[in-house]
Amino acid sequence: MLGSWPQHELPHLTPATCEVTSKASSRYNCIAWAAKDVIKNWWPDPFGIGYWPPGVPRAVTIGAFIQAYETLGYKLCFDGSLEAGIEKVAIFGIGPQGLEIPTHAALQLESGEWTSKLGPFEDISHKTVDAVNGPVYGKPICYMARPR
Amino acid sequence: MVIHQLQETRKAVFLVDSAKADWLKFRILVEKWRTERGARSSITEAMAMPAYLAIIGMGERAIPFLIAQLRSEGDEPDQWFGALMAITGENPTKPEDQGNFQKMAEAWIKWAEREVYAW
Repeated sequence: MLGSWPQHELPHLTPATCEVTSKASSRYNCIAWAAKDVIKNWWPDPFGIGYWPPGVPRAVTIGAFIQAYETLGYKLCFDGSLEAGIEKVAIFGIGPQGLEIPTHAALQLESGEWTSKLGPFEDISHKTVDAVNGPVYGKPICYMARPR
Repeated sequence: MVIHQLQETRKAVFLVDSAKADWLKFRILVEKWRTERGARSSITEAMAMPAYLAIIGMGERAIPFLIAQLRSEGDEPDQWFGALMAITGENPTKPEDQGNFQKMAEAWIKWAEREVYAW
């Protein structure tokens, strides 16, 4: 059974490709979830509404999102393949190549599946990273890795 | 669709006082905004949605409704802080509570009680 998100926005999510793992919540968002924070919403808005790691530019750019996860020990890596002892995040974006606007982040589980928080809706596990591709999140732009 | 709803609402409440009409308009805009936002996580995008901007456009009349909305959402407050900041020019949230919507909601509810905006 699927969750409460608008299914046309995430057309690849089906009962065969994902599983709902929490109730819907507005307390935290996908960027926080991939950072293992379920208390805050992470976002570099200019108004100071979202949390953003100190010292990282409050800019909605892929570069700023990379820097945000660098504060947690992640470094850019080649792809989202499963590697023993390595934890990975995928940063999603949408827009012209090289100028993508960040939209979403997903965290790789030890099984090789991925987990995402879908805006104000539920957390899910999804079999492949690109199961959340679509008109709202775009696609993975880069991957980052750190030791588990 | 929303314009039609608003027109219908206006017709239905033309004999009712303006505060009630504003409340009905606010409720429609809240639902419209939730639909517009969908699964987006971006606070900046969410705040730029037409229905959110229309709530901000209601000005001070929206403040008691926004506070009532935060109260009604309990420990799952939504992103009403940007609208409150835009309308009031205030920000009662402590820097260390940025992103913690529960703490931010508590700060705004206390602010409203001080400013006699509670509804």
